[in-house]
Amino acid sequence: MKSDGVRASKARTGEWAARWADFKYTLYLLRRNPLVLVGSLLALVFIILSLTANYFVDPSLARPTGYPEFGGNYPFQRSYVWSKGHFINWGPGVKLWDGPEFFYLGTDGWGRDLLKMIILALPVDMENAVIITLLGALFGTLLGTLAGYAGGIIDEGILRVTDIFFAFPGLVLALVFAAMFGRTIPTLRLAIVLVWWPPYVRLMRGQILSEKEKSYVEAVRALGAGYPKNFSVIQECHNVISNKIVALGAGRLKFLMNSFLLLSQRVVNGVLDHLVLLGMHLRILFRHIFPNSIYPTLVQATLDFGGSILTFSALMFLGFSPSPSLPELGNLAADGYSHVFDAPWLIVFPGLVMLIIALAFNLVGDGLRDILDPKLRR
Amino acid sequence: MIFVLCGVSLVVFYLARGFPSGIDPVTPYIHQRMTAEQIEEVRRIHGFDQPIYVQFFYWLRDALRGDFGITGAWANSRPAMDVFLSAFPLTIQLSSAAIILTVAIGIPLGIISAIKNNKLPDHISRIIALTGYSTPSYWFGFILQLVFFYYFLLWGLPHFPSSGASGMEAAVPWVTGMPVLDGLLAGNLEYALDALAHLILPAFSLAFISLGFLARIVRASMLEVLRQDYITLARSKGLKERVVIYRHAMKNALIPAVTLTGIFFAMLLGGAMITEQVFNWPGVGRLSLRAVFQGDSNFLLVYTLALAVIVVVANLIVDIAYVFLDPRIKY
Amino acid sequence: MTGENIIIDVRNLKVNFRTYRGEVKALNGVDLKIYEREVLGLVGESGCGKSVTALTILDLLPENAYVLDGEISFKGEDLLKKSREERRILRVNELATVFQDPMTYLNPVLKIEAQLEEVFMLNKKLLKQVAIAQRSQERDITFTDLLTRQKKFRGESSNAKVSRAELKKTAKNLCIGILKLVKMPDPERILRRYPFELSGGMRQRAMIAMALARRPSVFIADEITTAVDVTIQAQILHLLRELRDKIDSSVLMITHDLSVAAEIADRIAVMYGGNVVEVATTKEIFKNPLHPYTMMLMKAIPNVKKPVKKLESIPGTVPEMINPPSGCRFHPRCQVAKDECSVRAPKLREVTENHEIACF
Repeated sequence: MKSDGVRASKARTGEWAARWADFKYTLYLLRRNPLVLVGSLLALVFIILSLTANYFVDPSLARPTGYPEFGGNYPFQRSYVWSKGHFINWGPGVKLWDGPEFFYLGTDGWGRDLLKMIILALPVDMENAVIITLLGALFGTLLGTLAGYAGGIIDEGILRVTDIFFAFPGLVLALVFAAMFGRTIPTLRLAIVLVWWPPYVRLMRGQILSEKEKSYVEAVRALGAGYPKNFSVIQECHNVISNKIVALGAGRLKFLMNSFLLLSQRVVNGVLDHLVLLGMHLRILFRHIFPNSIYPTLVQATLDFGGSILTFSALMFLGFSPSPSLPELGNLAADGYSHVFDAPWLIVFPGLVMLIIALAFNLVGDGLRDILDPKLRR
Repeated sequence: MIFVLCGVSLVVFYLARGFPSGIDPVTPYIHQRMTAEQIEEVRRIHGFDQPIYVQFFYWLRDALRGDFGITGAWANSRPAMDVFLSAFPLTIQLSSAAIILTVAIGIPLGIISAIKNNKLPDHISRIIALTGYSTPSYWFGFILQLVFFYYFLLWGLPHFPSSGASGMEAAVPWVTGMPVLDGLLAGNLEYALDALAHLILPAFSLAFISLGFLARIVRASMLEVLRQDYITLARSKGLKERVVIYRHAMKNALIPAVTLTGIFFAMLLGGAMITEQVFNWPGVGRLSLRAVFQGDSNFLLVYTLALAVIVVVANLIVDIAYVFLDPRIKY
Repeated sequence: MTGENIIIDVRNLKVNFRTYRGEVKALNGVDLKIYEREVLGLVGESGCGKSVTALTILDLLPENAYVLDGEISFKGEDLLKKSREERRILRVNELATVFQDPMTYLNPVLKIEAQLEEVFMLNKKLLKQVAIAQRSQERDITFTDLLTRQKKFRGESSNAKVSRAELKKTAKNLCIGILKLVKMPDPERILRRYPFELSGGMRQRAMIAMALARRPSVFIADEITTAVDVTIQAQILHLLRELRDKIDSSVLMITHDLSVAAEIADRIAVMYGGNVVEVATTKEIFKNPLHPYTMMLMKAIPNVKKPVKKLESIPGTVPEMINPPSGCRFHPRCQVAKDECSVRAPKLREVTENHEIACF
């Protein structure tokens, strides 16, 4: 009978079936939201582009010095030029180029084709964004878990430290850090991670605190309160062996061995106790708290992805790049800072690309946040 | 709160002075014509050869007395606090204008998004909000400059000035340090208007980024409220939908948004750094950037501390405002 | 009851909800008649469609609901053919509702005064007339006056100007009057309070006041006793009984508690799975239930006088509304189901005098 069909499909018992149904509902909501789809598509395009960029464009083109392939043309004649006949007209102040190559997006200070540079910059930026977001999320989540789960002084301490980092205005901390520690890419990444990790702590801690309140955690604790079977076996063996050894010896030796074995029993029991406790906590953590807390963290990470690209390029723009010719979106824009009015494409296009990337990821993250909001789901 | 301030100052201090690869803290106090011994002398006077924690202690002691050290090169060095205070009002002016714009645009955007959820106005306002959120801060400033200054100039349209806070310097007495206000106070309307013209582009550039954020939050809050039972009751009374939204829903929904505005203000103060750089706005953010590059730890400390204090104070104000706005919360 | 006019006539109402998992067929052809000045109790289990019926009459359904078929006639006019604006105006004057949980149904950031006054301010014309009439009177006009002399106030038009302050003052007086009517202690102070500062019973009275203020023709009470404890329940029912004599409206009392219905209703309609299955006077239904569902309901009520060893219950569970049973929705649980029951859905027909059931 059809009336039983829907009910029968729920016959797959267990929490994993419920999670699966939940997931399918998420996909359904995703499908109904066109903006998120657009965003995800764009994001995918950029990811693929950044992965394959180095096959499209020869990375050696990024090197600013020595262009034997340009047939004797002193390359710096091509700096800051815009191709003649291009449909975009930037006004009277720009230098026009009518040489053999046609630059779709103009050239930069070294005469490099901006379009190719932007494509080359994609993997650099995306890679940085991934690393920064990952590190920040991991670090923040770990600290947040610790704070939320342990409670007490550890919680307080971590909160205070997080507050300190929250109180820093804007990028000051990252800037100071970068200025002090040098301008290598790893340093810059670390600098930005320093600024981005606090939100995760608060997120995770909040999740854990609310999960701790829920009674089912108590129930699991109550259920898991017994010794696992293997552990008791170990205990048994240890006891038996030690008793046998005691039975063998005689006299003072027996006394010594007795006490030694008693001590060892205590130690073993203590260790086993702690292991059991640890195992219990870990199990609660992984099977109950993490799966439910992962959604907001995911949303935050997606949103932060765009933000970290923006921040990284902002740092580059301000002058922290390791080498001025590094193909990176902010760096390319920095080149154009002094030529705003006679070579505006240097700022317009890299910035535009950055906007689109960040927009894509923010669309996804924002849409995800809407969809995963437990109050908006039926 | 004190703890946070101490922590902040500690971190900045350590970073700024504690690392050998950093900039020598003695820089503002010397000039080229000093000999090596004189430089060492200066170093000893100011205690820069002491271990870090001793230096911090000296700094703290001085700071509590109001002396934050000297900034700038030898020739035109001034007390750091003075430098800060002379540029700070300009940054406040910029941030205040940005906040006003943020609220004026962001809140209606969010409300529209919530009322027409999942229909076209929602999608449009969502794109606007998220675009604001995703724009690189320096890029938007440049685009604005390009269009409203350069191209307007080329096309013969009345254009906005591209940089600086005012075109007519020193025409009015320095009362608050904010050109627009000073102009109004002095009755010099032309001055005030000119200052306003200088203010619009950078303020909008700054606001564009945060208004998206505010709009999203207002939307989420409004959606939540519209689903509540008391909205159903309000509708059942036969009230017009417009009245239901303005009278019943908004008051509830805007409470978190309004309290957030305070925090936004603090954030904008800090985030003005890049905008100030792009528009050459003589505020505290631009100075702090210069300080970072010059390794000027004194100014950096003043800057960071001042802004951290403002962030903390903003949080407090927000908490207090919450008590007033939401009658359910008793202090 | 017969011979009196029908004020609301619901015929074959079918309402569906669009959800992720499919269409929920909430109402499957509901037939309901409410007479003037009677109290009709609408009883049924949770999820059988009682609230949905009320919401459909009021045009307060959520966005994913839509009316598939049927008609609702109010004083002779089909509501479903009216525009939303017209139905909203009906909500102002004719149809008033009180909901279940006064804590969530009152706006937490507005004072009671504001929430009650706005009801009066909805009908500015009337308010104006009261204010004008007030000017020529010595004492304040109270709400009771409004009730008793309403014919006198209606239909008078006047071109005199009434200031906003005067309007507000009049409204405030009316608020105090109506709060006194619902036995609210210390009305002046209550007006200045917020909902969370009131007790549950007081909040419920406030909501009732907000509904009564419109002097509606039909007063719909949706599970108003469910969220309160038994003592307050008794108070509210007592209040309703008193008011019933004073006000001129019909009452649709929705509840899942048969005892509540028994206390206050003149007639009782039993709903199950989106249909009305039995309608009769209260005495009749308890004495002589004819529909199998009603019979089992009655048997399930433990009798205080005759203690039983085992509590009876109706076997099976409530049907799922996305794929409800075909034909009569009760047939899988019915003891006397025939073959016909799974094929066709029975309609309400009169069996004995004033007693209708939907069964074969």
